[in-house]
Amino acid sequence: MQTIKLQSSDNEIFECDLAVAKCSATIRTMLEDLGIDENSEDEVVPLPNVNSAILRKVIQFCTYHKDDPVPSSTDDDENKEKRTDDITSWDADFLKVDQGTLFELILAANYLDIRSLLDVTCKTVANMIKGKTPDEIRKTFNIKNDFTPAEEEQVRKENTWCEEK
Amino acid sequence: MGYMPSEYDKYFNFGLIDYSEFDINIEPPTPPPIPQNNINTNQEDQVSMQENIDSSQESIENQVKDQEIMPELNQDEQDESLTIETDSDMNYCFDIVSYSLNPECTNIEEVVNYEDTILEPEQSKDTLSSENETFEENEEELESNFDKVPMEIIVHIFKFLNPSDLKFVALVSRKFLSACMYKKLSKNFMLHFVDSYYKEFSVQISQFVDSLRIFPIISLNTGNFDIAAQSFWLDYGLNIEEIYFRNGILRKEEFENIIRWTKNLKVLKIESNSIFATWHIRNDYSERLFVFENCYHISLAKNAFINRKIFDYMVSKAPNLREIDLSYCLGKLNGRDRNMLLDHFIFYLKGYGDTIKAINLTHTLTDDYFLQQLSEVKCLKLKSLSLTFNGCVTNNKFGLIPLLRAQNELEMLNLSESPAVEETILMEISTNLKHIRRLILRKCSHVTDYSLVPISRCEYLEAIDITACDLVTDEGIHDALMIGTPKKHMKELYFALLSNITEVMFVRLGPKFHEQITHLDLGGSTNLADDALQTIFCHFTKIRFLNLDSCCKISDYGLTGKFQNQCYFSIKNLRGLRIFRMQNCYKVTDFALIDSFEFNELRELYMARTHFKREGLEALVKNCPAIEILDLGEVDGVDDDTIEIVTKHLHRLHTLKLNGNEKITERIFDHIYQNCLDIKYLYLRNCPNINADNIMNQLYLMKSLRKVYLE
Repeated sequence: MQTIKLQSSDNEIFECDLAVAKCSATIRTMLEDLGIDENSEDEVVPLPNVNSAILRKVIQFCTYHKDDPVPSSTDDDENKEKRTDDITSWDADFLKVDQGTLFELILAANYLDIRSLLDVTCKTVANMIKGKTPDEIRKTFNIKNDFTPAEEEQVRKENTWCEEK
Repeated sequence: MGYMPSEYDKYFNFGLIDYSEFDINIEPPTPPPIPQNNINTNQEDQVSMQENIDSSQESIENQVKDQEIMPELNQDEQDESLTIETDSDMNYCFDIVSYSLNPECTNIEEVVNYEDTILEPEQSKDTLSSENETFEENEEELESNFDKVPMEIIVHIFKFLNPSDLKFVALVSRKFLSACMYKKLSKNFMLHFVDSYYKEFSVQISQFVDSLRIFPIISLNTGNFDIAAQSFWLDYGLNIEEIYFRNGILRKEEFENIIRWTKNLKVLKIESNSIFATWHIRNDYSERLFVFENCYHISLAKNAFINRKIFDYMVSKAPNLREIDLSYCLGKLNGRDRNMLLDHFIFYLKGYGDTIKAINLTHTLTDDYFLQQLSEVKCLKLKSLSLTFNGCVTNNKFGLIPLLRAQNELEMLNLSESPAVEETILMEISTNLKHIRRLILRKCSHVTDYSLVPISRCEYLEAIDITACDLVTDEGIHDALMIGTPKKHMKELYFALLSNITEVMFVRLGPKFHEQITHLDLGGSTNLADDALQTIFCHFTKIRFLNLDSCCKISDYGLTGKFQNQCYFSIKNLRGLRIFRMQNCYKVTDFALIDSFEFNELRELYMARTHFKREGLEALVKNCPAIEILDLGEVDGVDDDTIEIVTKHLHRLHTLKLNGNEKITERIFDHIYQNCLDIKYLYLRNCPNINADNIMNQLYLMKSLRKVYLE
């Protein structure tokens, strides 16, 4: 099995299957465009935006999902109903992490361009938002209310006229 | 403009999200001055004035984006999209200073201008000193995980939310509100104005000119949609993509005054019984002004009066029309006028039929002769057809059958309430309509088990509706859906009012459509008992809509799966449930509510005429916080205290039905007033302890209230 070395931001080196690494479109492009030699033993792909703890999780995720069918085109996806109740139990367990790690995973998935990881992490966050009041959402994510009372009132007023189609 | 979103564009630096959707434009030369409060809020880590300026420079560029949704902008000039600088590496901790020093950065002049703006005397010193204080406080606060998340990812997360969640996230913070400006997020919203008359309406609608969000769909229901709000249409018109006029008064001059500003209109619905009675079409040049190039759907449904001129006038507004809805029309016309209009419709289709893809004629009286003519329109290739068929089928060379043969590309066919539909027709459907996806046969009372057999050939079927086809039994459904080509796309099953179906059918259907079904309607299926529910909860876990109205046999066991210390399948498995009806299920008790009702997406719940008590309802409202529509008509346990609990927990409630509850008194209005800021509709019929005369003052206080239904 062909392997590849990935270097995290804190300079730890991970060796993983090429097929696993290629779940990331970013790495795929790097290998193709930057001409990194896949066969070379000591070639290392630097990933300066992902630390070792997160990279370890990402590799774990990609190893588990490497044989998943590639989802069809993204246009399709736009019209498709967005559900958040379809997270598999393995993914749900995998994402039983603290909120900081969850967001790190989102950022890493985005940087590495791993669609399935990005979707499942975003769904998890969406589930943390669903059904909550603005106050509860702020509390959950420690967000500061930076509206002036007048602005807040304006949004609230608009909302009273808004209905689901 | 209330404020400008900060941190909006500096994060445009990665690949997953399609920027083109943002439709950013570079047009506005003079950004409006930054409101004072913006300085405080750009970022928590503002340290010095220098950074203030830099971040305000971002604001300018944010402003550039903002213009996209600022209605004042002339959208004709908005074709150019801004090319966004993308950094290949993800530098989250963005260095603001280096950003501004970047030679490629534009807008330097504007930065200078901004310096002036910010340093205006009345703002400068006070703001600065108070700012430093707030900064020190902020430093001790924990950061939010959302701080470092770029806007595109927030938008991506928001795409997974339901529309009502989006309403509330907009209230969380400015960053979230900015994310809500993303156009596609608002596609499921509409601005809905009910009972709006003259002045009141123009006040309500005018506030949206200043809104930061875009609401492309406007529905005007029952009212006088008057010229008074003209400034609104002028400012906001280009944002509007869909407009619905329903049950109101609309004169032609006002209609034209509105549509002259709504150039980007895609959908136009004028559905009001006699709206056209006063319209006079002059048929001159002025009639042909204001054409919507993008308009693909026109609905004139429910209009009793339509004549040739009005029809021509409406369709001439939309040269690229694809869908036309004439359902429930022509009721007040005599036979001759109706036939003339239908003839004219055929004439129109002969000219423009090659672009028309959908026709809806439900409940509009047609005859075999019309269907025959329709089948002879050569250029017409419909994808969707709805009609009520009143003719006769004995002659397969005339009427509906030739039409079905000609329209072999149909994907949606709705023949609801056509008693003449029977096996010959269904045979034609299965033979000719290879692509049929939705087949609606509501109340086609002559559909039998035998006539459903050919359906087994329809491979692409997604939805089937045989509501109230009372002759159908388990066998018919089995033959239609279980035999023949596997129906991998099947999602929606509407089997309401079928008294002959039993759980045997679900035992068969369950494994076949495992995790496929999203809509299941079993209302009024009085024979269904708990075992059917168990099969459903085992296999159909993706259900969004479930109707069990009047399924009187179901009990706690069916819903919870708990029976003699055994635990089987609970309704809890349907985690994405959004609409649930269980009226008249009088055997179900509090136990089911306490044990199994935990849905964070549940939006509508109908449970009239049941025996729930306060305890169960309390558990329910605690575990289903997203409920917006709740029907508690004639529920045993409903009294003032219960309503207090309900209103305290359901902060999104906009419709509350309490018909026929004897125990509630006028005290409930205090609870509703204090807790439900969004309440719109109250149903209080047959509530003997509520006197309309005493509550007017309280109702007046509830600003969001639209309608109260009293005795």
